[in-house]
Amino acid sequence: MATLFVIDGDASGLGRAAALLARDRRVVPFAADARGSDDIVDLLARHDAAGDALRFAARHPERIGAIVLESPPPAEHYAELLPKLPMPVLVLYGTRDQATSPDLGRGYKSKLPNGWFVMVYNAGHDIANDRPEAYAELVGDFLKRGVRFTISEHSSRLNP
Amino acid sequence: MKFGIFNAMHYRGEMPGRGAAMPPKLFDLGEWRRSVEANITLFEIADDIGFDFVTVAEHHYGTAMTPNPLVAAAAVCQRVKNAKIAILGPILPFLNPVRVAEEFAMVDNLSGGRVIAGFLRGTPHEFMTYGANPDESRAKFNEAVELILKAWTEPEPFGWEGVYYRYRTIAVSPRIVQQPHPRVMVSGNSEESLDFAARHKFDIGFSLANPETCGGHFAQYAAMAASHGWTPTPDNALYRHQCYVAETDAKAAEDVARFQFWGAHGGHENQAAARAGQITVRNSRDLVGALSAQMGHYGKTSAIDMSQPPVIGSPETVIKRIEEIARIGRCGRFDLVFFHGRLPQELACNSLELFGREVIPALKGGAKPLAPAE
Repeated sequence: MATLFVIDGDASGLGRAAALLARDRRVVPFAADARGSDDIVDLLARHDAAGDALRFAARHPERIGAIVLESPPPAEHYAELLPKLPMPVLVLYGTRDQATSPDLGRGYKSKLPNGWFVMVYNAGHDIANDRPEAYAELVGDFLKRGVRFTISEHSSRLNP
Repeated sequence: MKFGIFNAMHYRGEMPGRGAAMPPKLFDLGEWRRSVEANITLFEIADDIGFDFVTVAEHHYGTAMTPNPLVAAAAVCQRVKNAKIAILGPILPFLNPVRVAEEFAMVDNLSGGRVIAGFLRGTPHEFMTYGANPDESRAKFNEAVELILKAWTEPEPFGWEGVYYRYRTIAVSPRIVQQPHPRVMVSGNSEESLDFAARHKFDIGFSLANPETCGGHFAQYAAMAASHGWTPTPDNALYRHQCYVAETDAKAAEDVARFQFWGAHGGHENQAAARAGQITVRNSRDLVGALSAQMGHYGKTSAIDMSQPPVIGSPETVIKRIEEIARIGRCGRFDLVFFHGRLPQELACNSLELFGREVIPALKGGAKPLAPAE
């Protein structure tokens, strides 16, 4: 089973989204297991923890499958790191975020070689708790399918 | 003041009646094409005589030829060279918001940056179209508008994880010409709509409305806008109604009655329609009535008032009436319907030309100033 390390001090900060994400993967706090593990893992960094995830990924790119950044600081803070990250990176901003504007997503999109920028409608700075189902489905799909998450796998058929 | 002509581009041929979901078999194919030309001719006349904008809207399954107003606007903007092209507007709960953003961008490019955008939730009878649930219409509308604005303004590809809409990659091309985006109008009929408009600095529009109610709604809108740090003027409020101008008041009244220019809405009372095999009068009226109640349309706070008479008369009478509506309703843009019912094309053209020659110059050049806001 895949492992998602959450850099947020405590994975329980994800609220219900943690339980939803845990249906398909191990969801654990970053400090507990990441360092010293030989497995390829995914990282989810919330808010100001983005820098920790990006720096770790820059030092150990071979160990990181994908990165998710939730409401991170402006991309300019990591301008030298971002172009060097080969793995898929998903950046999320809530449309009602008063602390980090959704406009900041464009900075990540323009600097990351394999970056994806998604606005989560009706969510504020704490996207995971404002819209846990949407968050878990979006993040889970991205982690499971990578760049193929841009192609729908949902059927639109009503009846045979 | 600004003046526009609203034309739903109606079928001009003989019809046994009106109503929702008209059987396509009742329409003559040749007459559809002739009707297109007659309707676009009215737009061209308006453009030649100095109207500020021409307007199309979205209507389905009936005698209007604009189920997709963006397609209509794309055609019209090639024939109308000066006036702005107002698309008032696509019914967002039915539609793909990204597609709507793309189509507006196309028309803005095709017209050289002349688009005025209107976003609507839909009148009740339109909800027979496409299977959209009217209970979700306001929430879908609100989300669709925010998505369209982002699609127009975001310079990088982005995804949208909404409540009703999901797109993992959006990168609208061509880019909208007018930056950051065209002027946007939404309905001014309800408190929710006014609040939405005030928050987004959108214009508001009223259709078939009581001017006193419009004035009250404008005051609410202004108060809401103040809380968001801006002040609307009458230029931010549009009033739409039917307008017929003739040489005298008596001639105007006679023509309106003779050619059913006013009062030809719905047509559900028309028994001939039932005999022609349409859906029954009773069923369609009940359905539309139920939808109206469900959507809060024509409700207590709605400005819509089907008893509100249109603007009819000699040029002098029409000038006075428009001044009165502007003063009471606080509206500075007039979007007027010059063809309806069975009005012959030559009378519609005459009405339009009288309006352009005598009414517009009087109201723009020598109009009394609007009363100050209370």
